[in-house]
Amino acid sequence: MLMAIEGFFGRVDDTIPVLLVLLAPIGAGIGAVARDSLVHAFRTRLKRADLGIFAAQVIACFVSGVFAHADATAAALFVAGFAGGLSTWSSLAVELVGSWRERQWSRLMLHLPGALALSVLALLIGRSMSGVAS
Amino acid sequence: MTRFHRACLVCAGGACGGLARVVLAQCLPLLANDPALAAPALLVVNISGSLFAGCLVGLLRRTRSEATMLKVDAFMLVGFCGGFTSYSACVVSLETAVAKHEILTGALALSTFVLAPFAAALGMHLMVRYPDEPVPTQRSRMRTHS
Repeated sequence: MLMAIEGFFGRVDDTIPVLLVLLAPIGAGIGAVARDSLVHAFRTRLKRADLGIFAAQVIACFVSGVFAHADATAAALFVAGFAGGLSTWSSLAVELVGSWRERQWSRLMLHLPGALALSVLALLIGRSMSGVAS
Repeated sequence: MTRFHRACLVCAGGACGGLARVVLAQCLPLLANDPALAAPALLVVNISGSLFAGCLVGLLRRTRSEATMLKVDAFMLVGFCGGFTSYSACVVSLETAVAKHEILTGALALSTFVLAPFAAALGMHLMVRYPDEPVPTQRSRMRTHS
Protein backbone atom coordinates (compact mmCIF):
# COMPACT_ATOMS: atom_id res chain seq x y z
CA MET A 1 0.00 0.00 0.00
CA LEU A 2 2.88 2.33 0.88
CA MET A 3 4.41 1.71 -2.57
CA ALA A 4 1.10 2.44 -4.33
CA ILE A 5 0.64 5.71 -2.43
CA GLU A 6 4.33 6.54 -2.89
CA GLY A 7 3.97 6.00 -6.64
CA PHE A 8 1.05 8.38 -6.73
CA PHE A 9 2.26 11.12 -4.37
CA GLY A 10 6.07 10.95 -4.59
CA ARG A 11 8.73 10.61 -1.88
CA VAL A 12 8.25 8.62 1.36
CA ASP A 13 8.53 11.80 3.47
CA ASP A 14 5.59 13.26 1.55
CA THR A 15 3.54 10.07 1.79
CA ILE A 16 3.57 9.80 5.61
CA PRO A 17 1.03 12.64 6.08
CA VAL A 18 -1.08 11.12 3.29
CA LEU A 19 -0.99 7.69 4.97
CA LEU A 20 -1.94 9.28 8.29
CA VAL A 21 -4.87 11.14 6.76
CA LEU A 22 -6.08 8.06 4.87
CA LEU A 23 -5.58 5.30 7.45
CA ALA A 24 -5.68 6.89 10.91
CA PRO A 25 -9.43 7.80 10.72
CA ILE A 26 -10.28 4.16 9.90
CA GLY A 27 -8.32 2.93 12.92
CA ALA A 28 -9.65 5.73 15.12
CA GLY A 29 -13.26 4.86 14.23
CA ILE A 30 -12.71 1.19 15.10
CA GLY A 31 -10.83 2.17 18.28
CA ALA A 32 -13.66 4.45 19.39
CA VAL A 33 -16.21 1.63 18.96
CA ALA A 34 -13.93 -0.76 20.89
CA ARG A 35 -13.64 1.80 23.73
CA ASP A 36 -17.40 2.34 23.85
CA SER A 37 -17.94 -1.45 23.96
CA LEU A 38 -15.42 -1.81 26.80
CA VAL A 39 -17.09 0.98 28.78
CA HIS A 40 -20.52 -0.57 28.13
CA ALA A 41 -19.30 -4.02 29.27
CA PHE A 42 -17.76 -2.67 32.50
CA ARG A 43 -20.85 -0.52 33.18
CA THR A 44 -23.31 -3.40 32.79
CA ARG A 45 -21.25 -6.10 34.54
CA LEU A 46 -19.35 -4.23 37.28
CA LYS A 47 -21.35 -0.95 37.44
CA ARG A 48 -18.01 0.85 36.91
CA ALA A 49 -17.78 2.68 33.55
CA ASP A 50 -14.50 4.30 34.63
CA LEU A 51 -12.79 0.89 34.67
CA GLY A 52 -13.71 0.54 30.98
CA ILE A 53 -11.84 3.78 30.24
CA PHE A 54 -8.94 2.55 32.40
CA ALA A 55 -8.76 -0.76 30.47
CA ALA A 56 -8.99 1.07 27.12
CA GLN A 57 -6.04 3.34 28.04
CA VAL A 58 -3.81 0.42 29.07
CA ILE A 59 -4.70 -1.69 25.99
CA ALA A 60 -4.09 1.32 23.70
CA CYS A 61 -0.63 1.86 25.21
CA PHE A 62 0.15 -1.84 24.72
CA VAL A 63 -0.90 -1.60 21.04
CA SER A 64 1.22 1.56 20.65
CA GLY A 65 4.20 -0.36 22.02
CA VAL A 66 3.68 -3.37 19.75
CA PHE A 67 3.47 -1.20 16.60
CA ALA A 68 5.90 1.53 17.70
CA HIS A 69 8.60 0.47 15.26
CA ALA A 70 6.35 -0.95 12.54
CA ASP A 71 6.31 0.39 8.97
CA ALA A 72 4.51 3.64 8.14
CA THR A 73 1.28 1.94 7.02
CA ALA A 74 0.89 -0.15 10.21
CA ALA A 75 1.93 2.79 12.40
CA ALA A 76 -0.68 5.07 10.80
CA LEU A 77 -3.45 2.45 11.11
CA PHE A 78 -2.66 0.98 14.55
CA VAL A 79 -0.73 3.63 16.52
CA ALA A 80 -2.13 6.95 15.26
CA GLY A 81 -5.48 5.38 14.38
CA PHE A 82 -6.60 2.46 16.54
CA ALA A 83 -4.62 3.24 19.72
CA GLY A 84 -5.40 6.96 19.40
CA GLY A 85 -9.13 6.24 19.02
CA LEU A 86 -9.17 3.59 21.76
CA SER A 87 -7.50 5.82 24.34
CA THR A 88 -8.99 9.15 25.29
CA TRP A 89 -8.22 12.21 27.37
CA SER A 90 -11.66 13.84 27.15
CA SER A 91 -13.65 11.03 28.83
CA LEU A 92 -10.89 10.57 31.41
CA ALA A 93 -10.85 14.31 32.18
CA VAL A 94 -14.65 14.35 32.67
CA GLU A 95 -14.37 11.22 34.86
CA LEU A 96 -11.62 12.86 36.95
CA VAL A 97 -13.73 15.99 37.48
CA GLY A 98 -16.63 13.77 38.67
CA SER A 99 -14.33 11.88 41.05
CA TRP A 100 -12.94 15.18 42.39
CA ARG A 101 -16.43 16.58 43.03
CA GLU A 102 -17.57 13.37 44.76
CA ARG A 103 -14.35 13.29 46.82
CA GLN A 104 -13.49 9.80 45.53
CA TRP A 105 -9.75 10.01 46.10
CA SER A 106 -9.14 6.32 45.45
CA ARG A 107 -10.58 6.71 41.93
CA LEU A 108 -8.40 9.75 41.33
CA MET A 109 -5.34 7.79 42.42
CA LEU A 110 -6.38 4.88 40.19
CA HIS A 111 -6.83 7.08 37.10
CA LEU A 112 -3.87 9.44 37.50
CA PRO A 113 -0.74 7.72 38.88
CA GLY A 114 -2.18 4.18 38.66
CA ALA A 115 -3.22 4.38 35.01
CA LEU A 116 -0.01 6.20 34.05
CA ALA A 117 2.20 3.55 35.68
CA LEU A 118 0.27 0.65 34.15
CA SER A 119 0.16 2.37 30.74
CA VAL A 120 3.92 2.92 30.67
CA LEU A 121 4.39 -0.72 31.73
CA ALA A 122 2.02 -1.89 28.97
CA LEU A 123 3.88 0.28 26.44
CA LEU A 124 7.24 -1.25 27.45
CA ILE A 125 5.84 -4.80 27.38
CA GLY A 126 4.38 -4.12 23.93
CA ARG A 127 7.72 -2.82 22.69
CA SER A 128 9.61 -5.79 24.07
CA MET A 129 7.09 -8.12 22.38
CA SER A 130 7.67 -6.38 19.06
CA GLY A 131 11.35 -7.27 19.42
CA VAL A 132 12.65 -3.78 20.14
CA ALA A 133 13.52 -3.32 23.80
CA SER A 134 13.50 0.28 24.96
CA MET B 1 -31.24 3.82 19.89
CA THR B 2 -29.95 0.35 19.05
CA ARG B 3 -26.39 -0.77 19.85
CA PHE B 4 -25.64 -0.89 16.09
CA HIS B 5 -26.91 2.68 15.56
CA ARG B 6 -24.79 3.88 18.50
CA ALA B 7 -21.73 2.01 17.18
CA CYS B 8 -22.15 3.69 13.76
CA LEU B 9 -22.36 7.15 15.35
CA VAL B 10 -19.36 6.47 17.62
CA CYS B 11 -17.34 5.13 14.65
CA ALA B 12 -18.16 8.17 12.48
CA GLY B 13 -17.38 10.59 15.30
CA GLY B 14 -14.17 8.73 16.17
CA ALA B 15 -13.01 8.83 12.54
CA CYS B 16 -13.67 12.60 12.32
CA GLY B 17 -11.90 13.20 15.65
CA GLY B 18 -8.98 10.97 14.69
CA LEU B 19 -8.60 12.79 11.36
CA ALA B 20 -8.61 16.18 13.10
CA ARG B 21 -6.00 14.92 15.61
CA VAL B 22 -3.55 13.52 13.04
CA VAL B 23 -3.85 16.66 10.89
CA LEU B 24 -3.19 19.01 13.83
CA ALA B 25 -0.76 16.99 15.95
CA GLN B 26 1.13 14.89 13.39
CA CYS B 27 0.76 16.17 9.81
CA LEU B 28 1.32 19.87 10.53
CA PRO B 29 4.65 19.30 12.41
CA LEU B 30 5.75 16.94 9.59
CA LEU B 31 4.84 19.42 6.86
CA ALA B 32 6.48 22.26 8.80
CA ASN B 33 9.67 20.10 9.04
CA ASP B 34 9.71 20.74 12.79
CA PRO B 35 9.15 17.54 14.84
CA ALA B 36 9.53 19.59 18.05
CA LEU B 37 6.07 21.05 17.32
CA ALA B 38 4.44 17.62 17.84
CA ALA B 39 4.46 17.76 21.67
CA PRO B 40 2.87 21.25 22.04
CA ALA B 41 0.40 20.41 19.26
CA LEU B 42 -0.66 17.23 21.11
CA LEU B 43 -1.03 19.22 24.33
CA VAL B 44 -3.28 21.75 22.55
CA VAL B 45 -5.34 18.91 21.02
CA ASN B 46 -5.82 17.14 24.38
CA ILE B 47 -6.71 20.31 26.28
CA SER B 48 -9.07 21.71 23.64
CA GLY B 49 -10.74 18.27 23.32
CA SER B 50 -11.20 18.06 27.09
CA LEU B 51 -12.60 21.61 27.21
CA PHE B 52 -15.05 20.78 24.41
CA ALA B 53 -16.04 17.54 26.19
CA GLY B 54 -16.67 19.48 29.41
CA CYS B 55 -18.88 21.95 27.51
CA LEU B 56 -20.78 19.06 25.92
CA VAL B 57 -21.34 17.33 29.29
CA GLY B 58 -22.67 20.63 30.68
CA LEU B 59 -24.98 21.05 27.67
CA LEU B 60 -26.18 17.43 27.75
CA ARG B 61 -27.21 17.80 31.41
CA ARG B 62 -29.63 20.56 30.33
CA THR B 63 -30.97 18.77 27.24
CA ARG B 64 -34.57 17.68 27.67
CA SER B 65 -34.84 15.42 24.59
CA GLU B 66 -33.39 11.99 25.42
CA ALA B 67 -33.03 11.00 21.75
CA THR B 68 -30.95 14.11 20.99
CA MET B 69 -28.91 13.56 24.12
CA LEU B 70 -28.03 9.97 23.15
CA LYS B 71 -27.07 10.97 19.60
CA VAL B 72 -24.88 13.89 20.71
CA ASP B 73 -23.31 11.69 23.40
CA ALA B 74 -22.47 8.94 20.87
CA PHE B 75 -21.25 11.11 17.98
CA MET B 76 -19.72 14.14 19.65
CA LEU B 77 -18.69 13.12 23.18
CA VAL B 78 -17.70 9.44 22.90
CA GLY B 79 -16.86 9.55 19.19
CA PHE B 80 -15.40 12.91 18.18
CA CYS B 81 -13.90 14.07 21.51
CA GLY B 82 -12.69 10.53 22.30
CA GLY B 83 -11.05 10.14 18.89
CA PHE B 84 -9.67 13.69 18.89
CA THR B 85 -7.87 13.38 22.23
CA SER B 86 -5.35 10.60 22.82
CA TYR B 87 -3.99 9.26 26.10
CA SER B 88 -1.70 6.73 24.43
CA ALA B 89 0.05 9.40 22.33
CA CYS B 90 0.58 11.41 25.52
CA VAL B 91 2.08 8.38 27.35
CA VAL B 92 4.32 7.53 24.35
CA SER B 93 5.48 11.17 24.22
CA LEU B 94 6.22 11.14 27.97
CA GLU B 95 8.09 7.82 27.87
CA THR B 96 10.17 8.90 24.83
CA ALA B 97 10.98 12.23 26.50
CA VAL B 98 12.17 10.45 29.66
CA ALA B 99 14.26 7.99 27.62
CA LYS B 100 15.86 10.79 25.55
CA HIS B 101 16.13 13.26 28.47
CA GLU B 102 13.98 15.86 26.66
CA ILE B 103 12.80 17.92 29.62
CA LEU B 104 10.48 20.30 27.75
CA THR B 105 8.64 17.52 25.87
CA GLY B 106 8.27 15.54 29.11
CA ALA B 107 6.97 18.59 30.97
CA LEU B 108 4.42 19.27 28.21
CA ALA B 109 3.17 15.65 28.28
CA LEU B 110 3.04 15.61 32.08
CA SER B 111 1.19 18.95 32.23
CA THR B 112 -1.69 17.31 30.30
CA PHE B 113 -2.46 15.33 33.47
CA VAL B 114 -3.28 18.58 35.27
CA LEU B 115 -4.52 20.82 32.44
CA ALA B 116 -6.93 18.38 30.74
CA PRO B 117 -9.11 17.78 33.87
CA PHE B 118 -8.96 21.52 34.58
CA ALA B 119 -10.14 22.26 31.01
CA ALA B 120 -13.02 19.77 31.36
CA ALA B 121 -14.05 21.36 34.69
CA LEU B 122 -13.88 24.81 33.06
CA GLY B 123 -16.09 23.64 30.17
CA MET B 124 -18.71 22.24 32.55
CA HIS B 125 -18.59 25.42 34.65
CA LEU B 126 -19.05 27.65 31.58
CA MET B 127 -22.12 25.72 30.43
CA VAL B 128 -23.70 25.90 33.89
CA ARG B 129 -22.90 29.61 34.18
CA TYR B 130 -24.43 30.66 30.86
CA PRO B 131 -28.07 29.50 30.68
CA ASP B 132 -29.74 29.24 27.28
CA GLU B 133 -32.55 31.60 28.34
CA PRO B 134 -31.51 35.26 28.83
CA VAL B 135 -31.22 36.32 32.44
CA PRO B 136 -34.08 38.80 33.15
CA THR B 137 -32.92 42.35 33.73
CA GLN B 138 -34.48 44.76 36.25
CA ARG B 139 -36.38 46.57 33.42
CA SER B 140 -37.78 43.34 31.87
CA ARG B 141 -38.88 42.14 35.34
CA MET B 142 -40.77 45.41 35.90
CA ARG B 143 -42.37 45.11 32.43
CA THR B 144 -43.54 41.55 33.24
CA HIS B 145 -45.05 42.57 36.55
CA SER B 146 -46.83 45.60 35.06
